[in-house]
Amino acid sequence: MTVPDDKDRRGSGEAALRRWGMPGRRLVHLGVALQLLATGGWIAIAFGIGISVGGVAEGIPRSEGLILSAAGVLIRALAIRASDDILSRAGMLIVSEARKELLESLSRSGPAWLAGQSHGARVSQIIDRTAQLEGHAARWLPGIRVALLGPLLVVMTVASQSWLSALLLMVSVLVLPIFIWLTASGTAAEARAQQTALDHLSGVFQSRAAQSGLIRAFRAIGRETAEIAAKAEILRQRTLSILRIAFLSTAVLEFFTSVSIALVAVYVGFKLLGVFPFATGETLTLTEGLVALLLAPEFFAPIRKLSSLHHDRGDAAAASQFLSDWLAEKPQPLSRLPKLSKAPVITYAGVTLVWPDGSVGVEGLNLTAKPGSITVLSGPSGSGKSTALLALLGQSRLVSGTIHVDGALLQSGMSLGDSTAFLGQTPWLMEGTISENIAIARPDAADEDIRRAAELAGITTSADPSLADLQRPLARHGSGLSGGQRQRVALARALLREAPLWLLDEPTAHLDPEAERAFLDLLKVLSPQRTIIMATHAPAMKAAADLCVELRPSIPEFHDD
Amino acid sequence: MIELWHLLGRPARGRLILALALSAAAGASGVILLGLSGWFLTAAALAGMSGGGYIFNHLYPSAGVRAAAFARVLTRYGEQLLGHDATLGISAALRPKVFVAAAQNRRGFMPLPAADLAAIIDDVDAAEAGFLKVISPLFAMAASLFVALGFAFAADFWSGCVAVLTASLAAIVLPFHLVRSTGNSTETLASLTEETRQRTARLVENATELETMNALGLASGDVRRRLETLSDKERSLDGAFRGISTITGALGALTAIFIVGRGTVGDADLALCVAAALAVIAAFDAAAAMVSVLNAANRSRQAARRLVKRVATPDPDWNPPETYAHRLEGLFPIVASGLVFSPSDTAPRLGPVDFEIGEGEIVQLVAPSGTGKSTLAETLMRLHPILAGKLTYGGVAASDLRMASVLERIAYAPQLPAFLPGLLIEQLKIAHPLAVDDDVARALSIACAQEFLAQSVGGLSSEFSEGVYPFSGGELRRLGIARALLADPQLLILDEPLAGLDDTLAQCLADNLRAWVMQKPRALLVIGHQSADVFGGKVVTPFHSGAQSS
Repeated sequence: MTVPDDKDRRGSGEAALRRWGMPGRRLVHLGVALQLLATGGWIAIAFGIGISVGGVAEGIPRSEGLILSAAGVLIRALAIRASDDILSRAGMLIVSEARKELLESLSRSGPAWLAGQSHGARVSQIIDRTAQLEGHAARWLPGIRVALLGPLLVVMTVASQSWLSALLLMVSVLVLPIFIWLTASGTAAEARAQQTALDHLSGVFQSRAAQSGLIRAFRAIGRETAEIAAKAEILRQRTLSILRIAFLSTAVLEFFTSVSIALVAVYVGFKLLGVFPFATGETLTLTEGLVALLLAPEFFAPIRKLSSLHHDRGDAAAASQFLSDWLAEKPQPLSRLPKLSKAPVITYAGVTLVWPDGSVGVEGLNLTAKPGSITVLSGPSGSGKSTALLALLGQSRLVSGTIHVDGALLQSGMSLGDSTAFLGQTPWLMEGTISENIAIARPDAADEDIRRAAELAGITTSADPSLADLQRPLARHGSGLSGGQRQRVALARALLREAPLWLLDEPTAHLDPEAERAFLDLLKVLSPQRTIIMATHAPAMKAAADLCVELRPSIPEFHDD
Repeated sequence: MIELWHLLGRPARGRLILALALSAAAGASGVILLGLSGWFLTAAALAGMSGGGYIFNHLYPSAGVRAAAFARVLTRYGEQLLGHDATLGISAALRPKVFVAAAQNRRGFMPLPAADLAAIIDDVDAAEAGFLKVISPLFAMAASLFVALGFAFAADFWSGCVAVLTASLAAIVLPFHLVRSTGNSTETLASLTEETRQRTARLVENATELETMNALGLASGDVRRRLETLSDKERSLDGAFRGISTITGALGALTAIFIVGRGTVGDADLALCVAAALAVIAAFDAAAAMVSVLNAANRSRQAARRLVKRVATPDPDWNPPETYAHRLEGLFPIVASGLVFSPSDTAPRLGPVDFEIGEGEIVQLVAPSGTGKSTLAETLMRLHPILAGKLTYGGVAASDLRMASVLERIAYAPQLPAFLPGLLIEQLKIAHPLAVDDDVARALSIACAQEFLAQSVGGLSSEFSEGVYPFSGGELRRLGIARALLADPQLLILDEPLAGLDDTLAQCLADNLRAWVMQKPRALLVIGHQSADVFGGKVVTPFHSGAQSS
């Protein structure tokens, strides 16, 4: 599998963000324009109020001021609503682009691409990691532009009214970054440590909550609760010492905002009173003063959002880096061997297998699976049972030993997929009729073939009459069927494909003992002319096997049952 | 959420109250800053124009403006710090209580299903966030509106009335209406999210199966479409909330314009009107920010409600209160007659069973898989209630005994023992924290586990992590037996202890356990699907009388 080197890696996260953000780019620009329009609306409101109040003060009533304000309110409200709408759509687009690319990669590269992490983790990556990209398009990209252009627009307008006020605002915004940098730099490393502590506390709580039955049985509730409480207290103290400094940066921003408003107000007030001690080269009217005052908070508003935007950007950058690394893990392309005409003899000799990410699956495995027999691979979780099965589908890499199919060497990158029927713990079912679900295995199959497969699998002949009608639609992902019935559908699929090799991965994990017995009986009936290899730790299956191979993390043992 | 806080014993009370007070103060100072500034400007201009500039007392208002600015900065900083401190304090009180409640109400030995655990964690996170993200801004908004209304009434009675009207519209009527009308959509969205996640999980789990059938493209396309639909629905629900937020801001601006209008036509003091206008704008902006967190508010409230239910039931209802409970003098004989039990409220009932375990006995309880042997063992440990029949320990009825008094004398080694993350030695000591090395070594040798442990890489310091145990099934089972032995129980219950062991090991284990039983008033209960000659003792088949009631 090709792994990209570090130099490529660094750029790839950003490149991925750009790529995924492409469809929404126009929307982001439009959103920015609308937000600037909203700022314009606010300027209109400010002017309107300033003009009408100034007019009264000068004795010339100017009623058009209020109309201007009202118009400003309308424009602002509509512009904000529209920009919210458009930017959230842009956020949605970047997320769905990323998900599209991930799912296409899955369907192109196959299940091997999912290896290396638990199923739950992969689902979370497909859904939640991609969701973190939303802030990049919906808030960061427009936010950083508006934070630049908005205050510029405002300060130019203020400058047209009172240059000193504009100067005040400019100075505060130039000095601000220095202060923020001073306070923020110290907290970065501590924040990382804080995150680790948080994860650890979360993990401590989770693992104990999960095993609470065990803890109660050993009367360790008090002890373990104290452990959780102690860790939580440590976390609180550490977090606070970090927060004390981290909040200083927001305090600095708040300081400059509030103090600037106060200074503008004091300056304009003194000037209007005529008691301002210095000459400032401008004469100020009430209108100009009010406009300057009203615009001051709007000057800072986009800048105040920057700290939360920083989070959005960080989250999105981390997510896109991870996702693009994942996408770059391209497993070796598989070539499917043509379908075998009869059940094969499969031989593993001294086989050691690794997953595509390099971790060891199985070491030194020896077995021979013959047609008409059921071979069981057994062992605790993590011992490599599934890895051994997946080697026949080209999804785990051979580092030593050989696998022979009917005497011919199975090379890496080769898959017996076309000859294989694979049954897992919960077969995939879709909405549709039972017949349609069986037909997934061979879409061009005739109805007669489907019916015959269903009969052989015991669907139509089972004691349950509700299954007899193959055209009966299933509820969402096959709810309404019991575990045993679902496995019969999976068996029907296997029969429809007429696959000579059956690989089963813990097929009875979710079946009660009675259903397990029925499944086993059915397997025995169907096993002639097929080679069946099953990974399981269920004692009933092991007892029924013709050959049982016990897998351990170190050395395999054999015992025939 | 208040209820939850009370239930936890009102943690971080001082900090929380102070944080909320500071939040209100911060909101108020922000509004005062703008209002006072507006008043100062206008009054100063009017005074300046009428020539009375130098008799106008400019010092107090300008000082007031500066004071409001500083007040705002300091109260915001304090509020943020104290708010987080209080939240962490609440978290430190909440998590242990949730854990205790979950543990004490857990039936049986089995780990919590992953979905339940995720739900608990989500609820804890949402409830904790609620204090900071919802209640604190609520106080700030209330204080801001209050001050702004004060300004409005000071300017002019009618302005005040209009301001009250629009404020109640923006802060109460509209949000309430919104939450009511989106109630259904929120629930539909929640179940749609759940379903979409499950579909994605199915795709990932069945990828191999789908690939062999060349159906992977079909399935992943289906998941992709569903994820897009989900995004769309989430977006439109969020949009409703943001829309109300925009309306709130607009209402504030319109109210301000109205107030200014009143001032310009001369019916009210102009300077106060300008002050009121600015104050109203500032306050309504705070309200608009609050509306956009309403979505989170709902979640927090529901999460808190669920947690209250959990935390409020500390004791399982089949545990008699301490004042009524009997003392347990001797554990034996343990007599079950017509005992009916069940692994959960919704599972079918098991039994009735009859058997007796006497002191010094080795009893083999034989029944096929799935008939409820493990549940019977758990019921003997008082981890499940007795639904019918009798169960006595040394003559005392089970329902008269505290669970703890039974639990401290019975230990159970399950077929698939569970371990917490950590080192093996820590895991063994869960049974007996004060155990010394000799005790541990003895327990391991009785369980015939010393040999493989000595040969293993980590030995007693082997690391267990989430779901990854560095030993084989048979080895783990023997470690579970050692752990149970370390608790020095009077009754040791073993579930399929000989599975996967060769004949020598099985003999060794059985001999050791027989010797162990002889040393003190003890008994051994071996549960299995077939009897083992190595143990001897009496064999009971309590489920075989054909009476499995449903």
